Order: sequence, then C-alpha cells, then structure tokens
Amino acid sequence: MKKCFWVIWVVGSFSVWAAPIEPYEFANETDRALFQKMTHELRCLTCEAQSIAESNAPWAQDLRREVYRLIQEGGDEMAILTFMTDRYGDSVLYKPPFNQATWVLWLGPFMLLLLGGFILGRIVSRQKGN
Amino acid sequence: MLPELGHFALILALLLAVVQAVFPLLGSFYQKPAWVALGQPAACAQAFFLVCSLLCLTAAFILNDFSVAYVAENSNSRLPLHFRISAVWGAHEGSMLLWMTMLSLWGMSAALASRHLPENISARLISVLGWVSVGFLLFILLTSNPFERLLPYVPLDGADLNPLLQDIGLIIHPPLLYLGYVGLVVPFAFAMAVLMSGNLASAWARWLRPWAVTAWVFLTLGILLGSWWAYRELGWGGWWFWDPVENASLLPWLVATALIHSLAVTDKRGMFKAWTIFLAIFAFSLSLLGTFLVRSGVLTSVHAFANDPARGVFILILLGISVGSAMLLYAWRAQSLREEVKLHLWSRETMLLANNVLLVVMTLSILLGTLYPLILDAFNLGLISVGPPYFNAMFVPLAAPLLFLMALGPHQRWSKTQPSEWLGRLRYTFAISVTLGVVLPFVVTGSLQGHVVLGLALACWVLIATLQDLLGKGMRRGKGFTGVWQLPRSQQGMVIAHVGVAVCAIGIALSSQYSQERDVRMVPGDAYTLGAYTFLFEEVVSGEGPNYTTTTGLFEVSKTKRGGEQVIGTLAPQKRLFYVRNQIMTRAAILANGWRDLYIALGEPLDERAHAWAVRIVYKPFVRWIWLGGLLIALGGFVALFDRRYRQKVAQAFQGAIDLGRLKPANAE
Amino acid sequence: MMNSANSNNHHQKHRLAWLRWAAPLAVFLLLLLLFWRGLSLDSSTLPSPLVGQPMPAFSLEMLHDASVLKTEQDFKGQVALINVWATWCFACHHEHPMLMDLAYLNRVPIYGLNYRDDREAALSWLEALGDPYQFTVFDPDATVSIDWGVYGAPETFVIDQKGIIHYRHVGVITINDWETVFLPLIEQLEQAA
Repeated sequence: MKKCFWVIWVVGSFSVWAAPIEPYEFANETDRALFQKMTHELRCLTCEAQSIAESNAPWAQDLRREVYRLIQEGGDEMAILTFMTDRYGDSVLYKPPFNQATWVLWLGPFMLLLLGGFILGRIVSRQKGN
Repeated sequence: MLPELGHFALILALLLAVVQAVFPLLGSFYQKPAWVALGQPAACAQAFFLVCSLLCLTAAFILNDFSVAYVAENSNSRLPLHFRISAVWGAHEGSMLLWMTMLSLWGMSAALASRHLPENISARLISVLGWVSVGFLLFILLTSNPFERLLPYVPLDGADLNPLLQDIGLIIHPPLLYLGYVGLVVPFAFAMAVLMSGNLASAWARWLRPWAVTAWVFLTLGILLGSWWAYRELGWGGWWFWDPVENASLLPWLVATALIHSLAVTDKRGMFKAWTIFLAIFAFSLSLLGTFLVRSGVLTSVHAFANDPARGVFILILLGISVGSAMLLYAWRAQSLREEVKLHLWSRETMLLANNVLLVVMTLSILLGTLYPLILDAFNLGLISVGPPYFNAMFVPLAAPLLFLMALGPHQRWSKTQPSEWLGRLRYTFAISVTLGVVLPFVVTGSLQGHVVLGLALACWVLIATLQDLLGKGMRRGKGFTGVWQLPRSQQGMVIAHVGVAVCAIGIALSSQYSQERDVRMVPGDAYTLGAYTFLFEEVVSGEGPNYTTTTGLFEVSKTKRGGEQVIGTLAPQKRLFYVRNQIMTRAAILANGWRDLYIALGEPLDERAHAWAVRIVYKPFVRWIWLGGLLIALGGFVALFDRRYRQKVAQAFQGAIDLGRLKPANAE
Repeated sequence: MMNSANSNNHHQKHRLAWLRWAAPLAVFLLLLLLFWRGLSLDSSTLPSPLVGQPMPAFSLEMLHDASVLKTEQDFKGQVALINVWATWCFACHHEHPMLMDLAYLNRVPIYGLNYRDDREAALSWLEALGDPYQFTVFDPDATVSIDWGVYGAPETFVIDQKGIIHYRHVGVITINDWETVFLPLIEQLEQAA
C-alpha cells in the first residue's frame, strides 16, 4: 500500500462500475463533438486502461470539468492538449505525439506492411524468372 | 474435505501429465510402443481429475465454504446460485483452474483423435500437450492454489463476487474465451510434433483444420460475448476499448484467422508448410502472451489480475520455455519443410498469402501499440500511453485492403486464374459497391463522411462478390439452392463467415459515425428529444435484488412518425448498490431492433430536492450488426466443421501419408 | 545475362534464409528481456513536466481562515516542501507521522495543499493528529492542484528559494526517501543559492 490513488481494484479487464454521466451543456454540436473526442483521447492516470470519459475517478471528473471549461473559453484541440501535457506530460495522451521516441510506433505498422508486401511480391515474381 | 480432495486431484493430474509428457516422447524415439500407449489413458485420466478438481471448487462455492480463501474472497451467502457457480472463474485462481481444465479436455480429445495420425506424430503431439499441462499445473499448484484454506480463522461470510461480474455475459464469456485460447494448444502441439518428425503431409494438415477452426470459433464467440457484455454492462455505450486485455484476446484471434486460411493452402495444395507451422506456434504463443500480460500486471502495473510478482515470473518462465523451445525447434527443423514456392499473381494461393500478410501485420501492429509504453519505459525513454486513437488509426488502413482482397480471393482458382474470368463480373460489382457506398449515406443523411463511404463500399463489395461466387459455384452443381446446398460445407462456411465480416464492417462504420450521445439533466416529467425519438422521464422507483438495492428510472420512448407520436416502448435503466462491497453498478437499458439501439443509463442524482438526475441517452444505429456479423463469422466456422472431407477421406489419406518421406511407419502392435 | 542474374538471386536468397527463423527468435528473446524488466518497473509514478519550472500562480484561501488568501509568493524565500494531502486519502494517514517528524526536525518549512477535501474534516484531522504545516491552503475543487499536475495524494513538491520546482514525489515519503532523495536535493539547492 504505497500510494493512495483512487485505484479501483478489479479482477481482470474492466475497471469501473458506474458510467460517469454529467449533463454538460454545449452551445453547438461542434463543441459537444470536441468534448467527446478530447475526453476519449485523454487517459485517466489514476485508472488502468480508461480514458477520462469512461472513468468515475474524481481526478477524471476534474479533468472533464477542465476540458469543458477550456471549450467554453473557446479553446481548440491544440489548446486542450497543451494544457494537459503542460501539467501531466505525454502519458496523459492516448494518442502519443510523433517524435524521436515514438516514430517506430507510428511508422512501424507501415514498415511492416511494406516488408510484407515486398516478401509477397518476391514470392510471386519468382514465377517470372523461370 | 472437498477442497482437499480437489487439491489432491490437482496433484494427481500433475503426476499424470508428467507421465503423458515423458513416456510417449521417449517411446517415439526409442520405438517402445508400450510407452507410447501410455499417452492416451494418461491424457484422459488427467482430464478426469481436473474436472473433479473443478467440481470440488464449484461445490465449495455452492456450499458457501468460506474456509476456502478463494471462496471467501469471491462469494457471499447472499449471492444467487448461478453467480456462485460463475464466481468459480471470477478471479485469478479459479479462472486458471478452468483454463487448465479446458486445456486438459482439449488435450484428451486431441489425444483420442490423434489415433488417426501416424504413431510418431501422435505420440509427440500427446507428449507436447502433456508438457504444456505440466507447466500450467505447476503454476497453479505453486503460485495460485484455489483450495487454500483460511484456518483456523474462518470468516463468517464472503467478500462477494465483484458486482461487475454478476452478469449473464460473464457467466459464459470466460469459458468460451478460454476454450478458444487453450484450443490453440492443439495446433501448437501438432506443429511441434511435425517439426520433431521433419515432415508434413497435407493429409495431416487436413487433420488439423477442424481443430484450428473449432478453437477459432470459440475464440470468436468469446471475444464477441466480451464485447457485448462491455456494451451492456459498463454504461459507456462502447463495444471495443482497445484495452490491453482485449488486445490480448484479439491477437491470437487474428493469427488463428491467418492460420485457418493458410491451413487451407497446405491441405489443398501442399504449400506454405513451414509458414503454417509457424502460424500454429505463433497463435498459441500469443495466447500464452495474453495470459502473461493479463495475469502478471506488467502492463496495467500493480492492479490487474495477480498482485503476486512470483506469478508473473512463473508465467514468464513458462512462456520462455514453451515458446523458446518451439522457436528453436522451428529454427532447427523448418528447413526440411521448406519448399520453393512458385505462385501466380492471380491465384487463390496468392490471395490467401496476402490475407496472411495483412493479418500478421495487423497483429504485429497491435502488439507494438500494446507493448510500446513498456518498451519506452524499460529503456527510460519516457512514459507514454497508447490508446484507441492509435489503434483505430492503424486498424482502418490495414483492414481496408483485407476486405478488398476478401472479395477477390474466392473468385480465384487454385494455381492460376485468368483475370478475364472474374474481371467481367466483378467490374459491375465494384461499380455498384462504390455507388452504394456514396449514394446511400448521402440520401439518408444528406452528408458524406470518408469512413462511412469506405466502410459501406467495402462491405457491399465483399457482400455482393461473395454471394456472386456462391451462386456461381452453386449453379454449376445444380439448380438454384439445391446447387448451393450441395457445395462443400467448408465453402458454405467460408461464405457465411465472409458475409459476417461485411455485416460487421457495416455495423462498425455506421455505428461509430452516426451514433449520438447526450448526457442530460432530467427531472421526472421531463422529456428529451434526440432525432426522431422522445424520451419521457416518468419516475424513479426503488427496489431490492438478492444482494443489492436498486434505483430504477422509468422512461417512455416514443417516435415521431409522419407528424404523430407513437410510443414504442419503456426503458428501465438501473443503478444497483451491492451490499457487501458497497459498490454501485450502472445497468443500462436498451431498446433494440435491427437498425438501431436506444440506450439509456442512469447517472447520479444531481439535486436531491429537485429529484434531478443525470441521464445518458444514446442513439446507436446498426450497432447490433457488429455482433450479428460476429455471430455469422462464428457460424461460418461451425458450418465448415461439417465438411465431409474432414471425416470420410481422412482414413485413406493417411494411408498414403504414412508411407511418406522420413517417417517411420507405425511399427507398433 | 539472365542466368547470372538468376543465380545471383538464388545466392542472395540463401544468404538471407536464416533470417526467416532468426528474426522471430530474436524478437521473441528481446520480448522476454523486456517482460523480465517490465515485471520490476513501476509505471504508476509519473515524472512531472513542472520540474524546472516556476510554481504555477494561484490564489487560495487558507484552510484555517477562509478570509486570508495565499498565493505562490508565500511559499518563496527558502527551500521548502509542499505536501498535497486529504483526509479521505488512506496513504496520507501513513505519511502523517513522517511529516510530523520532519516538522519537528525543522530542516525546511512544509506547506500543505489540501486537495478535494472538506474544510471541517481537514481541520479536525490536523487538530487530532498534529499540524506539521507552516500553513495549509484549501483547494476543494482541485483547480489549483490540476495546475500543479497533481493526480493523487499524497504528493510532495520540493521548491527552491525562487519558487522553482525541483522535484515531485508521488506517494508516501519514507525515511529512505528522505535520506536518499530529499535531503541531498535540499542541501544542493541551499548551496546553489
């Protein structure tokens, strides 16, 4: 018992029992969509494998409020992301930024696809050699 | 007494597994038929004792024996009987026992069925199954014994089953998923046996096909149920979260899918042998990897399944030994299976290989995303998180070509096809699909979204091309549906599964783009309108369940139709407060038909005096199609199992195979 | 021409054939190593991006007196600890005696940041268990705590004389933490000034 997070002790995979439902009101659909997108792309640091949109943890609740506040103040996606990473670092983002440490992550699948295509192409082209 | 019996049965099972692992293997190398003959009875007895052991644990739950630590932690005297039974696999130790029991049942069936295989292959197959059992039985006995007693201080009552798991979905989801997970042990053991023998006749690949497909069907159903449960139970309205644990089940599924396709080539054409063997090893390795990730806490840090570091270390060692030895064996022997493959671009082989490439790339990408945070952390390169936005971004560009080729594949002949054969008919199909993909969403919603167009067009493309193929081939056999009915079951199964994929793709594309979600504040008497639907919040009532109290909101749903309002149903979302753990669970209420789900979840009371509640109202079009498609996929696999070729010709085919190559013919008896 | 190209091709194929089995094996071994290391990693402690930055500006009520507003300026002047705590926080109970000891040692001032809490409960906690803080600011809705990058309690920040944050400790401060991390850092900061 090293720390006191609102750690939810659950067996297996899913870790919340009550869905967080908060009646935030939005001036328009764009704002609502932005709110839903952003809260799904920010990770709840005190939970395991949940976005702040999915967690009932008080911390996630606070962050949803901040996201809402930023949207009400006219903040765009960039402003919200900057606000969050300034305080919590990159690990709060579910979509890691492309940089020196993550280029393998982002380009890896395409490199693998190219490699697979290359191998496939070679196997198929053997036919022509003979 | 019963728990001790269960424990003892586990120990007996371990001893039998040792017999099963050692004797057939030695017997197969030293040509001792009597030793080889020990394998089958040992596998059967092992399965018997594991079933006994599982029954003992179940009995402890049914009888509320809280002197057993595992029962005390996961049950309660007020828990209804069916949940007391499902609580057996509600946490680490019991689920491991279930896992192991299923492993032994698979092992027993494969051992019994392997009498159709040449004796050397059969002996080694049984032995490998035995080794896997030994590893996991040791794991259970040494680190996760479910029969541990809490003596002399026996608790008066148990701590109750996690409320999240008190749901019908969770009664059947883990057993199905585990059946799929551990079913992959049969292809794995088969691959090992083949590698030890250094030869693979296509007839053996035919023997393996139904096993691989069965495991894959269970895995499909398990994943499906998990997703359906998450949708119903968690109150977020989502159905896939790219959670590491979900990924752990998806990874072996993807490779198993690749395996059943590659097995088709090995069976029909005798090609891709080394690759098929590799996939068989890969699939089970991923299933073990999943077990490690879920139970070691390495990904979700301190708080997942196991909190005992010894368990993580133990599974890691098991993983290292089993997969490591398989890989080494593969490195050593695969060369003898390798053949110079020559493929024509327009052939079914090439299409199936392309399918394999895409599925494996998909698997590796998801694996990369799942493990990347761990990799960076291990090298001290910082902490990051990889979540749904990444996986969605990776998945779509890989799934699109897969779907595109899925329609083309069945239209290709084995070996070589003239493009002119199919180009004529598929040209129109392609044009129609693209048109439908663009026109349908535009007509219905008045706007166009890239993902919808792509998803819909591809789904139509797969759907139409697959049916075209079915009808075309059916026509050649006989008139109308009799011809279709006379096609081989495996072909019918393939069509059903591919149609399932198309249905699933429609569900994913439409539900993810057109869903609408509102969190609103409502007072009884309020009405909220979302699209054509009006939700009238009538009242909140309290009630009581067996081990919880409930707060239920009642909503009347009506739909605007040509000016008039028509009531279409009542929704009763619930909040349950479970006594023992003092936890609140949301139970969403869903009003569904084939086209859309209306989904309501009740949140917190916002203002006690005004009786205001937070309510989530969700409109999800076509979401059911996702599971319907999944069911069709599983059904396709099921139908394929009834192919006559898997039964009739097996015996003759093996006669030929036994005389092949370096194998010693069965000289026993 | 054709022939030589072909044999060249074959030669190359054989040279690379070992990759077919070696690549998966190598990847697997790397994964094993990774998992082995992963078992001993604790990813629940996040590094704070605020380290090296000045304290975020704020203005909060004092816990003991709602009429007094405190700002980050009030923390400045010496090397100090800022401890985030709450009465609902189980681990804070464990940490409290250690904070009392530190207050008794009086090596550096300790300021409290009461996080997402109830004022009455917080006051009676300090009354019952002792008050190790110079003063505590009250942040019931966590607005300021979020600016500080707080995501749980307890957390402890080390600031220097000018109010630059030098370290963020997540979780309970143990004697070992104090001796191996805090004390050397505090001495270094004091000498630097």
